[in-house]
Amino acid sequence: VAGMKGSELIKRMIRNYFYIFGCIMFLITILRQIFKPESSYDLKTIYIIMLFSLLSSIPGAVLLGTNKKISEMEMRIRAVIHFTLLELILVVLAWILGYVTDMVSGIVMASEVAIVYGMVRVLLWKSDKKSADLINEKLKEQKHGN
Amino acid sequence: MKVSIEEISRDKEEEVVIRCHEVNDDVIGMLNKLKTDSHILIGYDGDNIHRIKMEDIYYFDSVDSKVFIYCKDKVFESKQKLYELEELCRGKEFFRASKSSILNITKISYIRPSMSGRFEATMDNNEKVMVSRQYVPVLKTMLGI
Repeated sequence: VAGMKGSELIKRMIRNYFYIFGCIMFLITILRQIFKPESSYDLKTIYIIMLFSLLSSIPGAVLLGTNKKISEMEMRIRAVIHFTLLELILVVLAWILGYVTDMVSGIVMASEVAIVYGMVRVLLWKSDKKSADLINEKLKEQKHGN
Repeated sequence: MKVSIEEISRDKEEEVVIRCHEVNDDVIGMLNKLKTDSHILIGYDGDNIHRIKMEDIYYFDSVDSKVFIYCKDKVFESKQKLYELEELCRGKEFFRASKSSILNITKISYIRPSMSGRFEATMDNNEKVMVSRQYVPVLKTMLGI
């Protein structure tokens, strides 16, 4: 992670960690309220989620949060590695928690993660495209004004 | 010290050349006086020192702790740090595009999102410069969006 100070990296990791942990807890609480209101968290589950939130925060901070100047191709390779690591971490977490029990459920889970990841990417790109179009319109206006 | 002034035709670029035995405090003082003109920056091209108009600058880029001034088809080195240049550019048509670059908005041809989640600005001279998504709101504000 050349180009990024250790303190910056740790700060980014801690921030990511709390985002991930908060989101998981929020979603699990809502989903349990809807589908399994009678069940409760045991301490072990919380520790497992804490551990995996930490593991999930590392690839993002290390691979995508660097200040080093990196090319478009290198950035894409990093995004692929990031996605693969996330898949791995999430499937292993689901397996430990007992949501994934065999190969088929593992593949289904990995596919779901891939679809959500892809959808987020597409939505993000569409929103960026809209921003870029607005900017280009203003740039054109500015050039014609001069 | 001998002072020479040479008038040149409009089609040639204005330039100040300091011939000295060594770059001492007096020479640096003179350079700083030249730099106080907020529309002019000093760029170095080997042993040559150039006065560069702000409006001729496309972007500033820092590579391995060196800062470079990119013009249409020339690159000069700057002795100033990127944050100092950012300060000088404040209130002008320049914006911070990433941790390592500052772009002249008037020289951007168009901008487009890249697949990696960043933005790519194509300058009027067809050079492509990356824009971090965290700085896009700054650009939008400057354009009145």
